[in-house]
Amino acid sequence: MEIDRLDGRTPNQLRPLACTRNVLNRAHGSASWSQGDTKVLAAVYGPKAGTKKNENPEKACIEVIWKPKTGQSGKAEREYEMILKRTLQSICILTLNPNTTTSVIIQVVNDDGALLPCAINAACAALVDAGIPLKHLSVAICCCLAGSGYVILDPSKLEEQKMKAFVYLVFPNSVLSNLPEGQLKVQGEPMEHGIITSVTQGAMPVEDYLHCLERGRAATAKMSAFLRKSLQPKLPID
Amino acid sequence: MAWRMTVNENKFIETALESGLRIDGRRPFDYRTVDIKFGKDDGSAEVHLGQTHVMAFVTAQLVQRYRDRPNEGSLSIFTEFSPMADPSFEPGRPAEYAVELGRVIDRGLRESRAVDTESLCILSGKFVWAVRVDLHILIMEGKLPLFFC
Repeated sequence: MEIDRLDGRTPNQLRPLACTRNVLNRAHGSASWSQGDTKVLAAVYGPKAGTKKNENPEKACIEVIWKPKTGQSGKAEREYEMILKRTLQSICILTLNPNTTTSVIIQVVNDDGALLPCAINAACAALVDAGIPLKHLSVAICCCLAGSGYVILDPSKLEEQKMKAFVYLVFPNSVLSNLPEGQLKVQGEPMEHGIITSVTQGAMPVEDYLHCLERGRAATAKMSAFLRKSLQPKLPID
Repeated sequence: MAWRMTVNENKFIETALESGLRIDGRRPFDYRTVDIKFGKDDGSAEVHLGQTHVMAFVTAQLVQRYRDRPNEGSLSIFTEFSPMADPSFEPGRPAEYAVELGRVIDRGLRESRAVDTESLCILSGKFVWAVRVDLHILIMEGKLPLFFC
């Protein structure tokens, strides 16, 4: 059952991705990530001394500040900050710099659907640009469920508003390693099948959720390759 | 931890100025290159003045107007000193100079009548446009009040 998407994409097709590193010269690390028309700018200020009041001083702490495009920061921004913080905490190696705070500042430049996954990708790229030690990278994607039960990926804002339910999924990126295959698997499954974060909105049956997971995983393989390529150091052309 | 200028740096800048040179090689009255880009949607722009980057977004909403000014819309300007520009900016309450900067821009735009608030009125006494300008400072390398207009 094919659906005609407004911009002519197939259900599994992502919007054109663009990633630029080192956009801001003052921040320790910065990146700008855009998926189609959705564009997010992330800046990272590296470990500062001290942690916040309720945080564990034996580990590094990550602080996320989300700046919306217009308007004051409200509850939705707090929710995004919390989700982003938990996601980034699971990819950073927190035991390396105890009792420090790393600040991640997200600025929304344009919102055209799939805002949170775009922000997570930008934050991950900015952390790499800042040189913060990470266990692995993360790729985030948004899957929507239409009323008739089929799944489309990376919706634009209009598509998001018409959908019955959607889910934001964050997976670790695919591994490129010289180690023998057996060592890379966790309990028999390759590492990139693990889920770091899953945020759902709307009601969906379990089979549809699992279906979204499958589609999401397949698409993140392509995003992983793109992320790896754009984060590689660029050599000056002689 | 504020950064303080050393005596050597002070002397260097003074000596350079005496021979008509600033630290980035410009003459005393030279401007840095200005680059203005307009965004895809209506009402957004990005300005680069040398290394300083600022983004502005303009939105408008229909509101019901106060009875004492039934024929005028409103123009409000929100300056966001994001911690992105400088790690010393705290999110939340803006610092003194941030508030002052906001007021300078506000007075500049309002008193020069660059936006005619009477033309923002749709139905006198009932509905008017409330125009809101959000300024996000991305990188700060000096000369902020200049570019907002």
